[in-house]
Amino acid sequence: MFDHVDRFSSLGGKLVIKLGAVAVIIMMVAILVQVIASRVGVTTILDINGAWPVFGPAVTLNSLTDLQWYLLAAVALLPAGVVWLRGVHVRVDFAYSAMRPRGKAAVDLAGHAIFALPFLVLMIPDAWELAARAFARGEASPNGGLTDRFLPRGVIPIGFGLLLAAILFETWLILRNWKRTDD
Amino acid sequence: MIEHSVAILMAVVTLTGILMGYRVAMVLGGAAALFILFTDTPVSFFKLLLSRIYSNVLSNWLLVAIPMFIFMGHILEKSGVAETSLKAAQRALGGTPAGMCVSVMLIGVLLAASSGIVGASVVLLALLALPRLTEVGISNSVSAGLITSSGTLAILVPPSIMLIVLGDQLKVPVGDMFAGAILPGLLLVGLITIYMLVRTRGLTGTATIERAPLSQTLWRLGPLILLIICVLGSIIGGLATPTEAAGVGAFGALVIALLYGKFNGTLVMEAAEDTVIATSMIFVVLVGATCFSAVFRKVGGEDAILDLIGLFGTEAWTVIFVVMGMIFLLGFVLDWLEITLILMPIFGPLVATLDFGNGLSGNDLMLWFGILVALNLQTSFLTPPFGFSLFYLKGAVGDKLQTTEIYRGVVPFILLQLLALGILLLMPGLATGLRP
Repeated sequence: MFDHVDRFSSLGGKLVIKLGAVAVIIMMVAILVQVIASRVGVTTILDINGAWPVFGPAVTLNSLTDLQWYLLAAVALLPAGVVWLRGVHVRVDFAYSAMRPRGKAAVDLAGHAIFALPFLVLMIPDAWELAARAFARGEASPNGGLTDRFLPRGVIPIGFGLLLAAILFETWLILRNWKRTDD
Repeated sequence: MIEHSVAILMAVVTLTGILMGYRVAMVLGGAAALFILFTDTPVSFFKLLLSRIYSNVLSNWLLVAIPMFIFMGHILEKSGVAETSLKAAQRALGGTPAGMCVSVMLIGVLLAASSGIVGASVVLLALLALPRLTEVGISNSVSAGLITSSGTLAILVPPSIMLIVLGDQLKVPVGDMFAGAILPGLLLVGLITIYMLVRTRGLTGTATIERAPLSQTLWRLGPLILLIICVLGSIIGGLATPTEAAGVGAFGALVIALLYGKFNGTLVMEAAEDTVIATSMIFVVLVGATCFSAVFRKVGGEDAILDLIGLFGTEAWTVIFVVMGMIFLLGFVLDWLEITLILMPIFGPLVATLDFGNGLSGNDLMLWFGILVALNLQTSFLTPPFGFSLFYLKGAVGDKLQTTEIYRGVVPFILLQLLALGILLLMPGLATGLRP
């Protein structure tokens, strides 16, 4: 069971990071196209007549601006869980690094229970509700940008949902290995 | 004291969590949640916070510049372009002890203006320069101080992510922040140069460095310098927004990699993947700190801090000294990002109302203040025990430098930073002079 979860999460993690990397590259291309189009004075770049999802009637300068921050929102929050499990998040570790393995595990468990869980459990349902409301109302750009504002709004509950999953997974690992952890 | 007890409790809980070593982003978010739950703050306050996160953070087009500048830096670093340029500059500047020291710092400036990633700068400088510095007879502790403070220029010299976030918080245009940081950055470089010239007097060692012809140096350095000038020039000159310049700059970095025959798909993907990790880390902190900051103000934290400052006096110069002192002290335990997000919404409006008798008001005043904060926060990278640059150096060199040598060596450079801060306090023109 443990090996399956572990393998699944690391494969999934790699996939999320790779998709994010592609999003970063698209972001760069969108900026390039936008810079060129705005300098030559084109505002409607491609008339697609609603053929593409999210883009609405046409690809405009505003839709490229929107595209960049839609992608930013996704890159910023969807990998939150993966990044958490990779252990790169900053901690002030001058006390922590001096602790024995079991002390470190205790700090992490206490931190999960006192800080991370209340925060995530409190915010995720609200974030989900805001995204659902944007979906129901068909929230979109008021000035010819992208439609479907529920997508960047939905990034908050999904990204933090994945972070919650990562933290629960880590909690389970710590508890599972507790007996084998040295004092 | 009594009326501030909730705010003080919140600060204590947060600092305890951070000092115990739990990950900072979640300590901040968690403290926000706890103090919504256990005070009379309505739970619906969280919805308000989420709306704020959505509108100020996620849909903030300016912040697209953050992943783009990180991407640009990683491309230059991973393709070896930064390293090649470094070596060229090292050869050009040469073999004497003083020349070695100056070259380390100038390379620090170059790396700062192109990649702006402190960790990468410190590590690269450590690997390339430490053996040469030892060779010419410079002590371990002086080398450690020089390498960390040169590498840390990356956070001050534009394009810097810190300046983008600070500008966003203080409502100063990023182009102004970038322009404003140039002279103070050069001042710092000048102070370090003078100090190193004094420290290396009497040393006679020479480093084994092959001299290279001028044409080769130009070929190795030229494209990078051109990229820096284009990116910074277009932002400061108002020709492009920071986001546009950052995106085009990332593309320019790819072109340079192509020019040197280092371009390939793996490079681009690896640089982009590292960008995703760094970006996500920053934004999770942004969300946590945004929540913390709003709840902290809600429970009276702002008044508590203002009252604390008021204990020292209300005169403009007293206030700025206290504010700078608080930022400096917090820099020992917190990171620039958290300090900026938590304290700027409190300090910004406070400083905006002050009259320093130096003719500064409005945007000029906030620009000066922003650069003062930037210079101050830069110091937090160097202050033990929790200075990022010190970790990066230790990580890069392992047992070649003792932690105590690093701590000892960095002290004179912290003092130089504070000296620069003092000069900028007295001469605001350094920050406002280059404003377009």
